[in-house]
Amino acid sequence: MIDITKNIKRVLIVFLIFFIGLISYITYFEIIVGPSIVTNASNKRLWVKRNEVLRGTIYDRNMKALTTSARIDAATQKRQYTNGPLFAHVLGYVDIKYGIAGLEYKYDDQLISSSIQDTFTNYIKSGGKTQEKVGNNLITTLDYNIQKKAYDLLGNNKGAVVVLNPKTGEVLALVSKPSFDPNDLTGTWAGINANKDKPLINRATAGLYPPGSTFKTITAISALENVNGIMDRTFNDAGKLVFNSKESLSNFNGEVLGKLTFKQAYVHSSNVFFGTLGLELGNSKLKETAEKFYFNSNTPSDGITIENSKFPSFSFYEKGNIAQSAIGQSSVLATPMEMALLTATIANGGVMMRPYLVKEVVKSNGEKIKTIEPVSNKQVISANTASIMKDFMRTVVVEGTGGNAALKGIDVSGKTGTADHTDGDNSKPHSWFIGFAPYDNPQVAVAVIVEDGGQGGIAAAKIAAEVMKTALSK
Amino acid sequence: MDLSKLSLIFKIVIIAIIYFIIFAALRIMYKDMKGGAKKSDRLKTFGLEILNPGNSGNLRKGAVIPVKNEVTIGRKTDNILVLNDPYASSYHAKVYIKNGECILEDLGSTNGTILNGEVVEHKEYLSSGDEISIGSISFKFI
Amino acid sequence: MLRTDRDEKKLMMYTYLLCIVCFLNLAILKQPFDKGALVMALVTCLLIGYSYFVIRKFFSDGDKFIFIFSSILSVIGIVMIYRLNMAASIKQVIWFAVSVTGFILTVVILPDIKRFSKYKYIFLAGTIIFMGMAMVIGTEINGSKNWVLIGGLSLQPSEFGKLFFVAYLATALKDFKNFKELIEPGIVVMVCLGFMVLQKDLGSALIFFGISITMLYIATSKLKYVVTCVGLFAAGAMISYQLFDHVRVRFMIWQNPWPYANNKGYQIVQSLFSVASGGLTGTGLGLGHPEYVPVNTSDFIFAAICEEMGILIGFAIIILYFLLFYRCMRAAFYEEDSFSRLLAVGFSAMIACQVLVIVGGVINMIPLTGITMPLVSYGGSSMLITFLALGIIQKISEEGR
Repeated sequence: MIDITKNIKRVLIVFLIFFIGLISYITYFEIIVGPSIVTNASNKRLWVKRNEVLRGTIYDRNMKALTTSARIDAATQKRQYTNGPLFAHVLGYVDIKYGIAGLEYKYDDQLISSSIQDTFTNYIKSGGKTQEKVGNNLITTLDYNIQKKAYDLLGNNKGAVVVLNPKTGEVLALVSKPSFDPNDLTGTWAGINANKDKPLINRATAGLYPPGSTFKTITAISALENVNGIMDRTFNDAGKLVFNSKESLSNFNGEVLGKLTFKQAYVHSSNVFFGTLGLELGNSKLKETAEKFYFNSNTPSDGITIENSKFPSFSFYEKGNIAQSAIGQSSVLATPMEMALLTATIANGGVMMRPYLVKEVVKSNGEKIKTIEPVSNKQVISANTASIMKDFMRTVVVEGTGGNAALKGIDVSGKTGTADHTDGDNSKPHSWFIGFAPYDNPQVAVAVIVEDGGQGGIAAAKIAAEVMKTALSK
Repeated sequence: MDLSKLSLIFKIVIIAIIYFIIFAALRIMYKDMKGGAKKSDRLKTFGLEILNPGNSGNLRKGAVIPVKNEVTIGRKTDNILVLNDPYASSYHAKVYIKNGECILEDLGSTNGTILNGEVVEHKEYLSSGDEISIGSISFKFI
Repeated sequence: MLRTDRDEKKLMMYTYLLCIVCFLNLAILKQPFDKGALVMALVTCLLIGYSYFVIRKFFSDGDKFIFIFSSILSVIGIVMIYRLNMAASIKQVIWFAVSVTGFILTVVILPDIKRFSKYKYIFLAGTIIFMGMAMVIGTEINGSKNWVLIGGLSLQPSEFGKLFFVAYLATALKDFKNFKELIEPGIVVMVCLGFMVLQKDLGSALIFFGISITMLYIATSKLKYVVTCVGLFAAGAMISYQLFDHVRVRFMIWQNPWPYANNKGYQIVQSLFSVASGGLTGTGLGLGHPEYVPVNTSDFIFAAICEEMGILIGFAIIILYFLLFYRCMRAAFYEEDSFSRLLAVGFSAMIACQVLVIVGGVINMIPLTGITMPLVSYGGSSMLITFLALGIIQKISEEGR
């Protein structure tokens, strides 16, 4: 009999353990797993919550409305983007079937939050009728005029344009083509997903391309910081840099540039010079400089997600690769945003400002709730180095490969890039241009890439010039 | 807005009530356990209340002898209930519990056992309120 | 006697209070005061009060907590079902009344339990008939083929089969002497498990397994039998995993439900959202969205409760089930006759395993199965069987010392 008693006790304890296990799992689930799945797109509750409030409006910096929201019935509202595909990537979309993306996602809780006080005061003022709850509005840093100009200039090409204010980090324009129509996701979704050009990708922040000669900027900076006497050095460019019997590196079109100073090598974009410089610096020094500019790591930003640009690691004997990486080829990959930030840093005396998209959050009646101030990410290079690079870049436009970016009355500075690539079947390289203007007290920094656009000095440079002209004409 | 405030109050009250229930139940059960086997016995416990102690010096009127498993009644001192009555036999009777019922069995006593005025043949079921007499001593079964 | 009386009265008062407060909460949710809710509250309180009174008065020897805990759980169930679906709630109250009557009748009418130990083969026949019934004349609802439609009612014969199963095992194991005696019940158990797997009712299979090893351990107190059985079960599980598609699907969804959020994993995903949206204290009755959870009145009622009343109530429910389980096992504790003891253990394990399986499934701790929560879920046959089992346990508790 005693045995049985003990047995029963043991069984009780075993079951107790199971029950306690159950309780612990629920606790673990609620605390740890819970918050991350509540925002899942399949969770209808969030959509109900989003629909309780009339979604706030997103404005550009000059208070031009970029979205409108109209309520259809108690459970649904229609979100319209006034300019269709123009701002599609940066604003994103919010759709019960296709989910939520872009700025709509990043600032979702502001757009659907409304102050209880206001709802209450409205309730009283309107004599007891429950008023529509309206979410907060966002005033972005975007400029409609600049965005439109850049979008139109890209035409039928694929590519991206990034326009920043180097002093504050404000994103003035963020264009990615091909684009899609966020007003008609239902009708076009199948087509969008089947399109092999992948229009959903925001090429400006997530497109990874070999930067080509624009990367020489970083190589030059690395040299300025690590190689003594680089400014006084002269070099004989014989048109070709030979590594071994099989591999060599040459200038564009096999051009022989002859005797060059460091500055001239940059201005005329000598692959041979910079390839040699890359070998002299070595992979680790180059990588170190690149990583200062947030290659291989997350760039702090607000309102946008930036894909990490990549700079590879090579062993010392991989001479071909090291040289290629110094001229922005090999497996170096950069986003247009990264190159724009590089330019902005140089324009801003070596200090990289944090790129951000939203200037202010205001209540539906205009009252300011939050102002987002410019923040510095860090001082990447010394002011001295920055001013040397500024000078180099000015000379690129005046005498060098960037002539097509010149504007009447404005001192444009920049660097071209013609990036060989293996994407797709097109044999034409990508056309890059990075630049800033004006020379004294720069107000705008841009990065333009035209996929398969050919020489950087032609397609991308022209677009960059027009965009900067629009940006500066206020 | 009104509704959510009220809901908050209700939520807290409901949770409080349920946990009160759990704690009250636990407390009762703990008290149970401390009382040990007594509780379950008390449920099943019957008793013999002494109505008339007769000549037995050890019995007082009103005292209750609990019937746990079995109570043996007789003159001999190894009985559970010792009767100092000349009419009682050495092993006069016993009261025991079987299957939840209480049974009075006469052990072949000389003068018999009286249940509610009638002589017990051999065994009888006891119900609450029954009166048992042995000699001059009488009990009430509860 | 009087002291515990007062404590129990307090407990009952709390139960009535709970019932009234919950329904009050539901009542004010509708714009004009919802009188229906208050009527429900009154009816439920009356039912509980009357039944408690009957039990106390006439059968004051048995364990009183069993009924109290059962009625508290039933109240929570009725409240939640009312919030979800008013018509179902009325049906639930009716079933509650029927079940409690069954409970009382069981305690009254059933003669001495020991007498049943002779009917081993009747129990065996009953088990096989009920388990197999659905395979012959059954229809498939919600993915498991163990429902039988009679008139307008849908019943699960495996629920009735459970009672016979426990009874049969109790008779078979009560005189355990050596290993040979285990062969016959062993085969029966395996046949029943097989039936369940074939009927795609994996949850019941798990429960039967739980009941079997618990009873086995109590009867033999030999750990090695238990270990062997667990091993056999694991082997069986793996075989059925290989053989049966539906088993594989369940496992796949259990491991990672998110990719299947819109088709096969829809139920569990919605359930997880529901539980995650509740937080500690829940969203408040009527303010959450348990309507997005499928089958929310029966299988997933726990998720709905966690969403609107919070996981604190979820914990409380689990605790209450454990206390109920404890009181039921306690009845076996004091009993001497091994048949009755095994019966009590079996039924207690039946309820406890059911709770573990369904709560575990709903929160995705174990693969989801189509089981209801005893007493809380909407479902007449489930509640009736549970109360009948509790009735038998109550009777056993009366006999013990």
